[in-house]
Amino acid sequence: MRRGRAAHLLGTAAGLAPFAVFVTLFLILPVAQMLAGAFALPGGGAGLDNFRRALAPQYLEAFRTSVALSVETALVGAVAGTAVAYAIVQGELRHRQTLVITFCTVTSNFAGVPLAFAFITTLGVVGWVTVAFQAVFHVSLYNDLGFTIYSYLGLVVVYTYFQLPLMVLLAVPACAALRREWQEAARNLGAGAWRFWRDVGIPVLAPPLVGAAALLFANAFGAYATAYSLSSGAINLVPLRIGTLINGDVSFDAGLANALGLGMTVVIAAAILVYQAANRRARRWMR
Amino acid sequence: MIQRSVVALFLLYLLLPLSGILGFTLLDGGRLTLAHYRQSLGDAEFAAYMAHSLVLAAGTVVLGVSLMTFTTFWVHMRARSLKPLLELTAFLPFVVPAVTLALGLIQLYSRPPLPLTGTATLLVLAYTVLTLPFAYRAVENGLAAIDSRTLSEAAQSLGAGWWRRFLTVIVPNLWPGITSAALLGFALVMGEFTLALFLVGSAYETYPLYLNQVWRTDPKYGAALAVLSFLITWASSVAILWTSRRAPGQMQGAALR
Repeated sequence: MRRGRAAHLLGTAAGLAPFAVFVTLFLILPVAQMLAGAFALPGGGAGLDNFRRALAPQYLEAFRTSVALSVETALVGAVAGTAVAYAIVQGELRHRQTLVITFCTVTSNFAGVPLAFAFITTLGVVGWVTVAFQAVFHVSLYNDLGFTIYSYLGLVVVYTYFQLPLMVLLAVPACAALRREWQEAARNLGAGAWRFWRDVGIPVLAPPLVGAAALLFANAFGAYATAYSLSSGAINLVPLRIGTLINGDVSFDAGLANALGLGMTVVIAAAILVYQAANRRARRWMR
Repeated sequence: MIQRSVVALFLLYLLLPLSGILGFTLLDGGRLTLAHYRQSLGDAEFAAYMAHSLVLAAGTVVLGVSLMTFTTFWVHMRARSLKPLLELTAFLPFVVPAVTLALGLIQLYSRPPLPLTGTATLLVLAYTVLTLPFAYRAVENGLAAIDSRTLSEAAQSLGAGWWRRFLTVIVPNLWPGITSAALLGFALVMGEFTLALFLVGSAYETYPLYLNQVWRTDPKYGAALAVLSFLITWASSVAILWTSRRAPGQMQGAALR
């Protein structure tokens, strides 16, 4: 009997081995290598040298810019995406729900290099919107208003493109959890619209929407391809800094890249923790 | 009225860049042309790099889906107490941005005992990591929907061995989930740029790397290849919606961005 159980346990472990080996080699070890490498000194031993260099002004600035870009596009995406989700779930456009959701599913996967090209051909120097704007308003977006698609503002416009449909997809179930009967019940009990939103609407909607916004933040913070093809290094973002440090021959500096990568992982992990905590609270109302 | 305008503006914004790139590639001096698209037909480099991407996609889908289907089922049947750990592990790739995963992989696999940097093998393995979250979700949802234990025991009582039960009873029941995970994996590999750039670069050039390179010398042709990339994404997304009747858009995560 004992031998049978031991054999059973051994069998169970054998079935788990391929996955365990794979995940260890290609997910756990690479992350561990980065985290440990951040503390490694060039001559051997451990220390905080890489972090001291990562605290240089240009890298702090990169973190500030990355955080600002992610926060701004997450907020714009969250507000506009919620409005759209509400309109197609509860509001006037319920009959168009399937159409809009299908559209969002497709466009939320448009990203990276092709998306950057699409925006350059639209809002670039000779993009048709730029040309049409000049023809209609006699004001040049580039020469008079100082806009360029290759700038920080340009990145905000492009990042918002993949944030918006993602937010709609995340906000639809949240808005669906806000049941119509509640609004009717509140009205029957004498509550006005303001009272309903304060006591029922916002408390029910806030957790899933905050969680979704945290996910959008992480989504933008880790993005590389879109920024790479739009900014050609002109905009100071953490992923681009890491890319330069590991891809360049002259600038190769794994230790510094590891320290920046550790910082990035901490920021994203924090956002994911907010997402999970918010989701746990949200689940009470979801059915 | 306000709601209608918000949704209309939203749809307009999502269509705007597509109008730009379609106009750019389809119009030459005001005349409609397919020349920039036709250019790809005679381009041997395009054919070679597209083939690379298709090979990577096939490898990733087969490895990722079979590994995750088998492991999730195994945990479900024989080691339920490990389910939270499996769930956490399958969620991890979400927390690790592509550029940091590349950073770790380069340092580990640029030297013996496993000098894999620059090979298609490493890229398939890295892409497989990225498929874990949605492959796990798809299989787990499928297992929750069917009574896999009863099914499996019924098959066992009829004399079917373990592998036979897994392949002929469980897998067919999970097929819709497996299909959508495979399609997501396919779309991911066909569009992924960052890992390809850092892990292999020109040593095994992929279709996304090629379209970025073409753009610099021949923007019209590069843009036409980008439209083709949109079409691949669009077709995969529609196929996923069609097979799973769910909205899996969010599951692809940050991998493509």
